[in-house]
Amino acid sequence: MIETLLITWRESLEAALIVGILLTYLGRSGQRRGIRYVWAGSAAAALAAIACAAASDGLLAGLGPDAQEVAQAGILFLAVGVLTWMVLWMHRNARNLRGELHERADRALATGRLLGLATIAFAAVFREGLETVLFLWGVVVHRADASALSLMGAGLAGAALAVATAWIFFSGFRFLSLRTFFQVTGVLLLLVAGGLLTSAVNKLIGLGYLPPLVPQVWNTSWLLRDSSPLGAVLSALVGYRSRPSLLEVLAFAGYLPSMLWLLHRADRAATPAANGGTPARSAA
Amino acid sequence: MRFQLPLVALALAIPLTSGPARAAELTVRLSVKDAGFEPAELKVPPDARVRIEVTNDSASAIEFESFELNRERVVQPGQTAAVYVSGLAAGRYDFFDDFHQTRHGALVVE
Repeated sequence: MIETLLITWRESLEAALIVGILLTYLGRSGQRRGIRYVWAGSAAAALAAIACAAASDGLLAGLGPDAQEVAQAGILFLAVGVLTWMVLWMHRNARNLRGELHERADRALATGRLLGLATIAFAAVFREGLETVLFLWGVVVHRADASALSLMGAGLAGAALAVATAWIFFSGFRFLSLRTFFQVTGVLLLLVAGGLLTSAVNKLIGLGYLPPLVPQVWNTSWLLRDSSPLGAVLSALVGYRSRPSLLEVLAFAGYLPSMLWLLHRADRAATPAANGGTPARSAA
Repeated sequence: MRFQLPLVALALAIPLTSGPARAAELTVRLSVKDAGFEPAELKVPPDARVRIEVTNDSASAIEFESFELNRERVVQPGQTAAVYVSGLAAGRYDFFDDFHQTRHGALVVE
């Protein structure tokens, strides 16, 4: 029972954190339409995950197990690209988000970017959602007796707990000034994208398409185990792995510093009067 | 996507340059039954490129997972998925079924 709850908590956590950070980010910058698109993307992904699990004997089986994994890696690469593009765009246009925050709400995001938001939410929820649904499906099929219902309940409670975890995490962000909030979440989103990139590379290594180069560069399992709650949170947020391969480390190390640099440039470009030193006001 | 292209290109270029000199591939088979993994212990030599063929012979979906091997893979009932590991040093690498955590096994490299 507790085990079922923990499994779905861990499976749903990444999706909940990514959707949570998007909603917090958009909520704080007054992008109401963006929020609706994130919810729409999440809902579509949940339905798609259920549909795929239900059709797993037909459609997915015909696709073959490798093709499913490649498709997942493809979705991850797409999410990394869209997420990076969104963050840099938001920061380049941060001028609009600072002063008259609420008046300018609903205006800044064009349809393409709204679809981008929906895509990120879809990728995050579909990937973890499919695993959660398959797991719960197995619980029901495997134990076609009275205990199936309570296990199902425990599983759903685990998913709800993941949403609660994300909510607690992000409610702390309310106390940051708008400027600090914007910078912290910008960096955090790029960390998330770096973690997704690492996951995609890990999948391709597992499929035998990419070499790990060195299978285990270091081992920090003595410090933080992947299976611990903190390990699960860090795994979802920044792609933490206690025993990464060299190729995964290279992917992360190649991605993050260059994107942080682009983020820094976007922030500078967004404040043309930076030399004059007009500090951004926080939202009142 | 624009920012991502150089990196993806780099990632794809690596196997092209290092590919042909690859060590011979070794296939080991692992069956997941309702009672657990069969065999519960797989033995492979060090530094080999190993293809673990995980067949799900149980009634529900499984997730072959190993923190030691840094791998996870969902396998539907009746399906077989190949999981690659390579260049492993001698030692014991535990794996489990994340969806049914009473099922444990290990890849022993010696």
